[in-house]
Amino acid sequence: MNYVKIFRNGLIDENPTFVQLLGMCPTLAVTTSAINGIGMGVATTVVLIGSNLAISSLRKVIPDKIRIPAFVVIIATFVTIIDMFMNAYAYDLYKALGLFIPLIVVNCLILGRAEAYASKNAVLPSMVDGVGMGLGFTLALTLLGSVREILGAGSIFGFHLFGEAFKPALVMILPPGAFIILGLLIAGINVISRKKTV
Amino acid sequence: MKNEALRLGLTLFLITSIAAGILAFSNNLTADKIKEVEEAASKGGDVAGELIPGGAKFEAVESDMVEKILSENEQFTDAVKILDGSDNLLGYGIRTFSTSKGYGGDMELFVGITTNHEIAGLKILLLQETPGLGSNVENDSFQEQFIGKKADAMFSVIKTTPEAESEISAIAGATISSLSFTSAINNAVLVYDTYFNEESSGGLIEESDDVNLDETALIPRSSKLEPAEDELISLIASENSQFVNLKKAYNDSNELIGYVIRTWSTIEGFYDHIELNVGLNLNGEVVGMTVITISETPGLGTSVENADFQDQFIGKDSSAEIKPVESATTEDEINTITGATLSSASFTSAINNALTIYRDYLQ
Repeated sequence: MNYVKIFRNGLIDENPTFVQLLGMCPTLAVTTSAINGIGMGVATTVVLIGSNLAISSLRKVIPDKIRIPAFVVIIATFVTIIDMFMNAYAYDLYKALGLFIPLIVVNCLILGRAEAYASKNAVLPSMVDGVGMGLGFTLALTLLGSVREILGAGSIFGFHLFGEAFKPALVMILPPGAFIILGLLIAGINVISRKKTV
Repeated sequence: MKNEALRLGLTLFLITSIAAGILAFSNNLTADKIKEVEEAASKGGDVAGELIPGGAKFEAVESDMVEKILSENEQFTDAVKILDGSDNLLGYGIRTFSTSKGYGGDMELFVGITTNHEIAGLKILLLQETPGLGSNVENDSFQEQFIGKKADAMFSVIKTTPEAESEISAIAGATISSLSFTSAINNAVLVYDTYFNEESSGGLIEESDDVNLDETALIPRSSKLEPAEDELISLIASENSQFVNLKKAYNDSNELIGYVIRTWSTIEGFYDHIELNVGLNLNGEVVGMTVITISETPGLGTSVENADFQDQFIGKDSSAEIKPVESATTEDEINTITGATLSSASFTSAINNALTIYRDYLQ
């Protein structure tokens, strides 16, 4: 198994957001700023690694016909545990990411990787897949969040880029802006990746 | 087949039971700690310092007092004394929900007010506004507008640059959240002034009715309202028992474009009189209205707040008294709400009183 290839696959070739279009709901909802994108991405990555680990180690125990409900239960359990422990032992982090944690349960990226990868592969490659996909997701969300924050609020990671005269395009941090920027980013990435293969 | 279904069911049952077991176990491990951490986050010494600089700890106020406020003020949740390191009283921390809802529901704030009646610090306890928009009320640049201000007047939210001490500039694109945030501060100020400020004149309770009514919405294209001359207001008040207040509305270029008349109804509704703000243009035509006080039956009498009822009054003027009837045929008649004839009549009487005031004093 080529771990570098698995990692690269998640980060770029099959980027969950730009290529697979998985987990669109949190992607569109939370990327109003770059820091939100990173927060959601990191929280998702942690859960993804954990759930890939749990599911790939249980893959021989879970009967094929009931794998989906079993995966959902495992993922939800995992997320809830993380939620509780963060709340108890890392309160500041919980304050910052708390909003995103419950959202992760319904993120189809987690279920998608469980179904497509972790349920068919050994533990270690599954975890590498989790890291790759998770970072790919983080990268995409941060990119989307940065563009929206720059255009919609005139700042990046909270630092103001322009003077007082700059009137931000508020629509960019509203829901329509999410769709517009996401569409443009996907189009741009398609152009680049096609040139490469030709 | 039958056996297989049973086997699958049992397997799933096993998985969910194990999951439930693990969850119960981790809940057991963390529940106490979570409670402790959250208590510390809202009641710890650090918070006291955030609310009033120099504050080191909280001390409970008399529980009778909290009970009394809770019973009289719906949004209020708690009040504590804030002491410094050597147990001197610095001020009070007042915990309250907003009185006007934000986009994601009520916000909860902790407001520190010093014994000098100054707002010294704020802490958001509950905020569910849109990230990047409404959540900008968390920004220092917004919150700083309140710090150091005297807790003796209600703050109002405006969209232009503030001129008066009590004016707060709304966050662009987040007016509702700004209003909600300000309403929580106002409620804290009201609670402080009513229950904790021994030098209070008690005037805030009445004034608080005015809070957060965006009265410029009553008159299209108006950008600000100013109170009418005192002599005029007292003249009208002396001759018209239902009249409450009169404001003048100006547009962007400072031209007078209308009036906002606040008046009670002359006829009682089912339970009591109704209080309205009525917007009139310079021709004396009704251009907008909002209900200020209403104690009618919810779902029946309160239907006078519906737009399709109120729209009937738009464009009417003082040329003839408006009559509420079951099915309107002429210009000066409006349709009553089925099942709410008395409330409709009361509402109409308030509008008529506003039109009378216009005809007698403003025309």
